[in-house]
Amino acid sequence: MFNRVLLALSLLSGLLLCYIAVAFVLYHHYKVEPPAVLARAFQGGITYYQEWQRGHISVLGEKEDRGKQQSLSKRLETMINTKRRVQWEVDQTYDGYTLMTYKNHTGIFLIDMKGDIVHSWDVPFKKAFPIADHVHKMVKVVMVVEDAHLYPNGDLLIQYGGLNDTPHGYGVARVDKDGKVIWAHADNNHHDLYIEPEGQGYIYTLSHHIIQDPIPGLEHMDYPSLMDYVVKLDPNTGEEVERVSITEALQKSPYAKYLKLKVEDEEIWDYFHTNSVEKLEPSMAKFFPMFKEGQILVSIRNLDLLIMLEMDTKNVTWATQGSWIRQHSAQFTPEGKIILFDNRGANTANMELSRVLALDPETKKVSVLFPTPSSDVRAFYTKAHGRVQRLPNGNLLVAEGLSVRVWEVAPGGKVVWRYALPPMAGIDAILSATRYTKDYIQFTPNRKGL
Amino acid sequence: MDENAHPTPPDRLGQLALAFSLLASLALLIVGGAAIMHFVFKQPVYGPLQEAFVGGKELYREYMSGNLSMEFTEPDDSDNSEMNKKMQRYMANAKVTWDKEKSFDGYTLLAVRMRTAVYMLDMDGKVVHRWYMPFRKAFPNPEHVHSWVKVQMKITNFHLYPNGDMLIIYSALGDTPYGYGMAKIDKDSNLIWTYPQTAHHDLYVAPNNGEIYALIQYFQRKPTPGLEKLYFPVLMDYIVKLSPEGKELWRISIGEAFVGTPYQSEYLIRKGWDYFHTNTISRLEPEMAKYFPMFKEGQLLISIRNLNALAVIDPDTKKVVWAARGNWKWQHAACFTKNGTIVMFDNKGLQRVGKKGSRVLELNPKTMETRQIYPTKGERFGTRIYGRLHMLPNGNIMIAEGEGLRALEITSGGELVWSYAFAKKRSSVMKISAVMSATRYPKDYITFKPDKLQDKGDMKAAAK
Repeated sequence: MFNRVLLALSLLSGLLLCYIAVAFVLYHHYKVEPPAVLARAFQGGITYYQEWQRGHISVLGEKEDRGKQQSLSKRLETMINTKRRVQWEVDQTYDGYTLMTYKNHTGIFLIDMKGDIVHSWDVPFKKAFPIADHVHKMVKVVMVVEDAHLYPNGDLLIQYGGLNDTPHGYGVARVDKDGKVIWAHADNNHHDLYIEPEGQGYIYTLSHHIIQDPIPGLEHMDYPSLMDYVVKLDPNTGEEVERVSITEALQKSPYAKYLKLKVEDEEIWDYFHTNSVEKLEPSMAKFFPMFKEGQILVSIRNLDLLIMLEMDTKNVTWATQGSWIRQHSAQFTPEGKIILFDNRGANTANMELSRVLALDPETKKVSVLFPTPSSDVRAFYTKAHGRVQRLPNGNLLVAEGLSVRVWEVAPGGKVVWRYALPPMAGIDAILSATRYTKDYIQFTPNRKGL
Repeated sequence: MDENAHPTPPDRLGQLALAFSLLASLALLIVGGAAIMHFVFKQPVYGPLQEAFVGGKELYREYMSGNLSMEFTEPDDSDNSEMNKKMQRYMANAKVTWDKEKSFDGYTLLAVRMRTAVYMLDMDGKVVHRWYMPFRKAFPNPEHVHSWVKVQMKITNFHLYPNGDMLIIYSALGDTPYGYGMAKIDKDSNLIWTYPQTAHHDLYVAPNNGEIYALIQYFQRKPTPGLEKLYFPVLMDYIVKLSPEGKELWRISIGEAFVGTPYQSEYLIRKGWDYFHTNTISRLEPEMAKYFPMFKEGQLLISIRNLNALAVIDPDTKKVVWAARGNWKWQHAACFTKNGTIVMFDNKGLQRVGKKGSRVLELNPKTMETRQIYPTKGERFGTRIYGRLHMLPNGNIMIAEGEGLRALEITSGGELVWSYAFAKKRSSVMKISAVMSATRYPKDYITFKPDKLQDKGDMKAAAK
């Protein structure tokens, strides 16, 4: 009896295997659709195989090659110490220390105006996230630190990213001045960090997740689709306090039409690609009568779109496109303008260069802040990345992404500080540059006395 | 006197030749160096060279994969050919369903992929007439297309005149631009005139004066004002108006029609060489205009597949007056109806995973509400690409199901009243794999005698 059951079972399972095999052949060779579950499994398997063939996947799991990383660190440091080129118009800069993050390296350096290293952190992703269940561990990625924020006591917020993987947001960690991990928020946070300067000091950042099934009313989109969120984190624990879906907020706002744009053919699964987040602080709100304090300005790269998001009502109250293409780093200035880094990215066919723009949100007029004729800069361009910080004296600090350069620009466009690294294998971009004044820093640096 | 004592006259020509050959080798060295930079180090090089290298590489790749040929060949599909005989046998096996009460009586015209023929069927699905015009017969020396590319030729849409004359639109799979032109032929498939431009997809003949509206496409290499956000070269679509004799009267660039309108910033961004892919053109006729107060008569409705958009363009101002996207995707064949609505074939294209099929969708442009006309009960219906529909005079809708290999007639309520289904198994043998267009003309529309009807008459006469 038992044998018969076993026989029946084995026949049945044989039949099942045959069915799956035939379904696969039909799917793969004759493009006949099997049931959705099988189709997904087959597509996933095929993609996995292709990625494996291309060497993007290591079967043993993602391992950071410490030996290689350490030699890279050493080379990066040697390069910063010996090969950097700095031009400095001494009395015209907003003096202080510049915090820089790089592509393909988790090293973060604080440098002085001459370019000497003052302090350094290097917290590998695996150290911040030993478990790392929020990312695909078998994918070989180019590790990046897309943004970092320094606290006066030497604590540092680090925004990790893993290029080659989707979602590429790898999370936020807070470490102390010696690189000891205080907390790590294991979510797909990406691109940008904004820290409230007043009050509780909440952290605003972006998050994204893959949605498998069509959202009602948005069936025209391509699925699986990467959907973006603005999230608010507690600075002491790293816990998520609030989360707003960009998709849902847009859907119920008067700007729902922006959910139906055409994005680049190869990026249809990454409809939004948000890349900067900035809160309108009470002190700034008076310069922007059309906005309310507490609203969040978000830059959406793949739609050339800027939106104002209201966290408590989960609504979009303002949105605009303009003459910019694939912009980054939108933020408010006390002149009542929104400045942004306009990459004109991937637009090489039109031979356009990048620029920093100021947008008047009232009239929608833009003016170019950099490069201007008085900048005397010929080729300013980065296809991706790019970041701008407005300094309190009105100067701009501009990170030129893939061109591995940082510029400080006085109002009018004159270059007053220029920092450039030679192209180096692996580290081919400065992803963020943030200036802090001397008195902001209240810890003893590990490299050079203040 | 010793001749050698004379100073040798300088060999000017030799010096020039030397200088020239030195310069030439320098040029070769530059090109060689640039080639190494391009192919080995993947560095961008001087513009024209870059284009030449990329072009050369592509040409070599296409040549190696057998897509290029110095001789253009088309399969023989003439009346007595083996191919046509097979096709006739194949079509005799097609399944026909017919609700005699509710269907709109007449002759069905059908175009399929891989054939430069149009078939005329009676309500039983029997082929009663055939038009056949190979591309190379219509265009013996085509200068408007890449004549060395091996392509699969098809007729994407057609228009029948009462006397049996017919307009046909050629499209080619395997080349870009894929629009291969328009031709007018008579009932015996003799050529009347051709329009040697890249006409593609669709055509519309104004019932009042016989003027023809069509779509053509060209690569635009440099941005013009307002189009800076597109990436160039871009395949730009144009609407053209032709006189009934096939003379072009004017053309409108669809890209420029958006410039300066409120739709510019939403509709003119982003990359994609086939940015528009306009696939339908029709006109708001005077007798229809009263149902569409927001539009004016004579305005043109187009469907832009790759933007998931419908647009109405005013031919006088050459600007978009209305554009919309909605819960449809990769749509085809938008047309005005007497209900004040726009009916379209919504492919819901390219959704491989969890694919639910296509639908016939009715849009109310005033409220932007949509209603699904067909399928009503989840019938299997769908095609990833292609698909076309025509409104019939009694309100029924004639559908070409594209890769679904069927022609269907439904009522405005979505009831299936006539269908013609090719046998799928043999479609791979016949390689037609898609029904491109299907429409129906009432019997009293035609004033010519179809071939096979004549046969039938002869047979009857013989029987008597």
